[in-house]
Amino acid sequence: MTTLTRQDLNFGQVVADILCEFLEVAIHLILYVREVYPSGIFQKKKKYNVPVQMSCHPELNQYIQDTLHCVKPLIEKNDAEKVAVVIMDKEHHPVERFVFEISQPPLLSISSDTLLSHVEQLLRAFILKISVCDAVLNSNPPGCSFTVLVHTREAATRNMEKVQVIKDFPWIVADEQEVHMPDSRLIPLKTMTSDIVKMQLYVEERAQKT
Amino acid sequence: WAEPAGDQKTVLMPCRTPPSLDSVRLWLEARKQYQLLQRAREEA
Repeated sequence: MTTLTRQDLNFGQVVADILCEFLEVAIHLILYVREVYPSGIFQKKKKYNVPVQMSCHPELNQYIQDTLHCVKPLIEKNDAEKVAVVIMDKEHHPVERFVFEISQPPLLSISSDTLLSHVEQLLRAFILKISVCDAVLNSNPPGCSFTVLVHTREAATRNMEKVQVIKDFPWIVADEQEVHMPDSRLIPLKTMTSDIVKMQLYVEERAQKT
Repeated sequence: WAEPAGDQKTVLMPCRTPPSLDSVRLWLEARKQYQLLQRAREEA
């Protein structure tokens, strides 16, 4: 039985790989469930042993991959406090925000044998919650778009800089307009606690969407 | 407690935007046409 500690060189990478793979599936599913893009571009696939809808639009898929490629170094260093998928109306005002609040235990000792299957189980529950979240949310106005926000610290952004240049995918500080959503209600969707990561997902929904 | 200099919280977003809904709709329409054409060719 292998025991990993946070001091191991690749531990942060393992956590970042697991989370980014999960976030990729979650973003595709959110875009499908919240009808940001037509359902025709999505295909049913199996992830975490459950059916999910994944886009087959090459440009959109590349965009999501590039976004997460830049976020990964922050997660690796435990510098991404929140990753939010923000759905915006035609005027670029947020109507919904799916917030993944991430925290990693500072010190731990885990068994790799049980780790993956346990984490997969927990992530599956998140996927299932996202796939039925439309039942508790109001419809979005037509013509919505989306963006991804990362809540981090100024010093941590240095971890992103190299990747930004390599991928030619620059990031900027978000405007108050993109971050702030007045008169919103908060809907908790799921919380998980595992040996490697704690995560909670909630949706902030604007009271008046139209 | 004051934040250490240069270590304040910040919110980042990609400078680029994802593909627009219109461009995705166009792509989907073109894909459907292509698939119809292929099916017709196979039947012929």
